[in-house]
Amino acid sequence: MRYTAYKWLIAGFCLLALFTNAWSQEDLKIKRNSFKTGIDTGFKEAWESVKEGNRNFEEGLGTYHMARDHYLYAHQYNPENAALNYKLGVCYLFTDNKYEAIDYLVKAYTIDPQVSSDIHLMLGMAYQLVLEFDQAMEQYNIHSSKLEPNERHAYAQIHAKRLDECMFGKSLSREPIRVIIQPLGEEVNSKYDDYNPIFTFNDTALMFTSRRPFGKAKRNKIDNKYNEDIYRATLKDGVFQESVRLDKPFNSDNNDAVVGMAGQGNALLLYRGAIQGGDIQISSYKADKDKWTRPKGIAGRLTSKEGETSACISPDGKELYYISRNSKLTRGGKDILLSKMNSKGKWDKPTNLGSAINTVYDEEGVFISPDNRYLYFASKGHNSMGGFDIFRSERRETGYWSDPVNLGYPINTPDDEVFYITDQTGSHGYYSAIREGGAGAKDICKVVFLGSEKELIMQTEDQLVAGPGSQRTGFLEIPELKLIDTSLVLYGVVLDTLEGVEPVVAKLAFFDPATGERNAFVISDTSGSYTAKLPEAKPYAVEIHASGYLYYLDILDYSSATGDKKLQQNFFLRKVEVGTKVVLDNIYFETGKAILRPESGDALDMVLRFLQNNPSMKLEISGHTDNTGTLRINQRLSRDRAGAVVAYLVQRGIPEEMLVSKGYADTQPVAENTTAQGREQNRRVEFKVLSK
Amino acid sequence: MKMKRNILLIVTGLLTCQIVLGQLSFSERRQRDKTLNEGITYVQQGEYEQAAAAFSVSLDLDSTFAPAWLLKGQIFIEWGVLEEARTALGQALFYDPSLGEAYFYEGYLLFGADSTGEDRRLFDKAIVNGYQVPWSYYYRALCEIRDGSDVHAMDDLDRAIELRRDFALAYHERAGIKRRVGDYQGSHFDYQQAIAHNPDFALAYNNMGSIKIQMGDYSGAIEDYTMALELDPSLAIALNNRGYARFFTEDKEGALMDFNAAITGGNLMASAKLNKASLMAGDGQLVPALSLLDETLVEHPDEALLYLNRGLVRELTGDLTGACEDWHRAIELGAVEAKEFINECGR
Repeated sequence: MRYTAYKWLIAGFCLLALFTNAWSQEDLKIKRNSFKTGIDTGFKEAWESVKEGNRNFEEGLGTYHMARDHYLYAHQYNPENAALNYKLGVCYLFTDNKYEAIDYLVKAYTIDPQVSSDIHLMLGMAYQLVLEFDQAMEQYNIHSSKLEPNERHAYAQIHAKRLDECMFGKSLSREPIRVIIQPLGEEVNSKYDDYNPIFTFNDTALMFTSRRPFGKAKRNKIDNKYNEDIYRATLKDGVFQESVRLDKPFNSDNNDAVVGMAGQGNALLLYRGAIQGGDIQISSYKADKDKWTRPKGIAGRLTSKEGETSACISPDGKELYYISRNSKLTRGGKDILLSKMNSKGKWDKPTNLGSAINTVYDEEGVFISPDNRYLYFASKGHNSMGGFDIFRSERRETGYWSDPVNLGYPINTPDDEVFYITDQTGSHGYYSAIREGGAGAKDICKVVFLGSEKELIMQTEDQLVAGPGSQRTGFLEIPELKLIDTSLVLYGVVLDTLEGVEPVVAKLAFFDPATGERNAFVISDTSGSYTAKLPEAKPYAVEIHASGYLYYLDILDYSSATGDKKLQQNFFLRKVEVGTKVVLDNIYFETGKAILRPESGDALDMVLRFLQNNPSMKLEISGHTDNTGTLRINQRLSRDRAGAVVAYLVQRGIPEEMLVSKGYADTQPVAENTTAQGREQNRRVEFKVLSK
Repeated sequence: MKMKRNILLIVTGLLTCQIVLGQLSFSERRQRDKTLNEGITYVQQGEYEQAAAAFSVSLDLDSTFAPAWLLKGQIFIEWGVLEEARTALGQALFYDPSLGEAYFYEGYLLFGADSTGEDRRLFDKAIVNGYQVPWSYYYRALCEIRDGSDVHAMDDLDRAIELRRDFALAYHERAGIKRRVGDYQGSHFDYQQAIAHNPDFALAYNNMGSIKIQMGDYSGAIEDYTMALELDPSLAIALNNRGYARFFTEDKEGALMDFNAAITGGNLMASAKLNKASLMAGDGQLVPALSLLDETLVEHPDEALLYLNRGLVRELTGDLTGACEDWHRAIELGAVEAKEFINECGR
């Protein structure tokens, strides 16, 4: 029984150290009066449990788990008793479920800060276990500050070690390594301690040590746990089968553990607890007899009466590494020693691996990787964050081992981690630890190394194209009214009336008779042809001017234009001759006066344009009256009216010399004055062409 | 008999001449056009029955009158009577092969239902034949986006916007193109314009939010997604996206709520499930995360990122073999990010 022995040795050391001081454990009584609450029901049974628990507690660490169970029962009756909580915390602290300790110890302290003189030490240990390193250090410092000077010296080393562990722990836990630690299933692990895994050749099976009961198994007196036995679980298709306890020669009634495999799997390194403080032995497989030999000790020179606990032979078979308490060779506690095989096939005298590997604290569980490159071992020294931690050292070209590196958190914790091995590929590790989700007590766990940190991907989802939607409409654009083409195209020729065939270059204008707006204007060409686009088929006032010709003015109605929207219309103009007379229609004067009325403008403008188109022409503008009134009056009136017309034209730019105004009174009638109609005809203004 | 036959021949000949020469009298033509305008007035008032009747009268006067056929076709589209619409549009183009608007509506009918690209060709013809209106360019742009021609689509959308400054849809699609080419500022601007001209544009808010994420403005993105959801509470992608943004602003609870909301209602949103699984895995809920990814892969067996993430979760559970299988599959499906993980396989 190697592992538990040394562990309790250290714990015992602590307790011993504490015993010599103000350690009040044995004085810490759960007083009946303070335990009893105001409720009688359940007190009797609870108090019996307290007493039973106390008995177990006093027996020592080996029965702490029994004491714990009794105290837990009592705790149901009175959870507020400081001493009971303290003792529960201590029980947990020194049994397998260490992480449970903190709650009880904190409660004990809260209820009674003076519950025990070592409460701060216990709290420190409990906080350290749950990775509350700052709080742990604080408690250690408080514990130290409350000690008497002579006590403080005794605890100095413990405190220093603990404080260092906390600092290492803070550093290591700040950068956890990416691993998955999976306790192997119930085919391998039990609710008892299971540890020290060793793969058989080619990883076909796992051999390990377990402290589960078997048959009439005996309990170890030190820790009250069942003795160690060797078990084996076959690996089939990557799945472990139900583990079985091996028979003789491997197991006996004492502590038996498998610590290593040698050769091609045909030799097993065993630990035998019954021999000389614990020794390493070898059992070899005889293929011809299909039998394992009775274990024999390795060379005597390698063993000591202090005991050896673990061993490993290098893959090339030339080196034997083992753990020994040999005080002549170790630096402190247990160390890793090395023996090399000599040319005679014997193991040479062992040497200490040196201070780079071994510390003043215990080393345990040595293993050489299958590629012969790495040395794995557990140590309470170096930068352990508490208890045993797993370290790895690399073989240098010189043959020496590099400074060990802590495998890191969470492989290592402030609790004990030991017996680390790798499988044949080296891609997975296996070791023993207490982990959440395990079967209970120490379990064999598999370590899967993950690669670099990887971030799971998250993503947004978008619909970049909105699209027009599924509904259709026939009118994405609302239609506009169509422009209806109502235009009428008028075409034809302008000819001389007399000749009938001579073309005239003339200006043709078409006006809306209602509004006077000019709708079209064209000029006929030398052949007399013209084409005019009129807005629609309706009446138009047509005015045509040509040089040397009398103007044409008429209203023509094209409303009934049918057929093609092209209509032919010819015009004939009368040439102006000297002496030609034209009566100016639509000239109006105020009654009895020579003042032109505004509605005369159009007719006068016609004359104006005629003169503008014929700038060499000279006209006589003459006024005429009927025979009503005196000659003198009529003379003057007709003269003045002609003068008004001339003035109108002159004001609009016609040179005076183009015009002569005359008044003829009633001397040149054009109709009979005997009728109203005749008299109306006689009342006129006309022009006569004097020269052209 | 002979006389009657002769008369018949003459009348037929005259009618044929009329038909062949398309000659309407001036007043008939005016009447036809006036009737067309009456129909258009009815369309403007939303009275499609009367409009259809007017167009029919117009066609009675002139059966070759392409604009009337076009408008009739548009009314059929409005009524959802698509076969008749196609017939009417076909008639319009028969009588006037240069009627751009008719090409447009033919393309419009085909859009979304055709995979030969004929719709795009019709939009081309519409534009070439003078129907150079915002919608022509918009629809052609949609075809170009569909066909992977972002550059051409961008030109058309630019033109559509030039012609109509408040064309929210065009801004939106252009924003999408800009985002694809990495012009996030430009994209954001266009989404803003789309919203300015259509304040109820929920999708634009959503997409604008995603642009803000590209630019690192998670808070702004959350506001946009929230607005999108106020406008359209059923917009599952906005729920997913807001969850994403919330996650990166440390609001895990809000993120989870949003992912769950995006997933519920039978919504097969792969992204929301992917995101929820990532959140759960990050919280240490590896088994539920794995379960969710398994179930999502059944629904979406070709989603590369699902395989990638499931591989990552499998790795975290120690199943390196499963992780490597998933990463290989992810790479096959195009998730190049998984290539760096493959190096760790075969350790």
